[in-house]
Amino acid sequence: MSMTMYLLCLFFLTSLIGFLIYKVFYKKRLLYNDRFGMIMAMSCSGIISLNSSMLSQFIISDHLFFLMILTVVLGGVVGIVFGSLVKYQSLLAGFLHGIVGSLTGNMIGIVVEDPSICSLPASYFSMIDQNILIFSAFGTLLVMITISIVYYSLRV
Amino acid sequence: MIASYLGYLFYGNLLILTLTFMYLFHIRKLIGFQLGMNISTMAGGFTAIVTGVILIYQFPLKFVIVTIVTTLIGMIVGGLFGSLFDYQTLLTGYGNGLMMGIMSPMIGAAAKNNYVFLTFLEGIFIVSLFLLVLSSKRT
Repeated sequence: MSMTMYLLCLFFLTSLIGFLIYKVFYKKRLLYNDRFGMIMAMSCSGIISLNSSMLSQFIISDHLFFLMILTVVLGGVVGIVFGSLVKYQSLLAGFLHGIVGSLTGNMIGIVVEDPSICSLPASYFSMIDQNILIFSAFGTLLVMITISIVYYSLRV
Repeated sequence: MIASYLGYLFYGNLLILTLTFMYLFHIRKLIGFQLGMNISTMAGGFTAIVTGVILIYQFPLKFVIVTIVTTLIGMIVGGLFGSLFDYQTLLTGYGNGLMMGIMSPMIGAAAKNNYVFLTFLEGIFIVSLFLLVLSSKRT
């Protein structure tokens, strides 16, 4: 039970970070050129959709394929939202990287929960909870690092 | 038997990568940002894939640590190649190296120590570095 609470907290933290960085970019959307907008949409939508789809695979471990479809659509929507700040080419880049990121996140979530898919050794079946903890913390750390680098690049 | 040579393969890849980096460092003023973006994407992504597969072949019992290390290596290599040109190419190489580095240990674990696959990936890596040097020379 506390495991689910922890994962839910990380999911809301990821959503909160995404929302805050979207607000910052919306406020400054007239200041930067379209090349920076494209790269911003690529990095932000990729990492946010990766972490959120991985966490949602951890939280709801049944309904595998339904969740996969849902998170891929969600990643595409996140990419479109981030890309539509600037121009259509950044919308395309954000859409592509959102879908690729959420597919990767689904893949790593399913593999960590069921190690026999990648034919990992049998010792992993006793370490699934520990692996879920490590991977969710690492993914959230990656989100924080990436968003802070993107935010810092507004000033360079 | 072959597994004892995987470390040398990793070291050789690192050596080739360093030579390419030094070559690009000399002519970095001649390369525009469009080519710089593609260079950082290619270098970070392929290095992350080859490194992840080699590391998971060498340490098949440590999937978690191998994933974290590969992600860090992909991020650092993509960022280094991108930092030759611009801050935005750094961001591109960083993001792509991260994505490929998270994926690659799973590919290596699913390939089940198949050495034909590793040879194929190594060939792709060397051809991509060759194309990278060629395209930077032609501009």
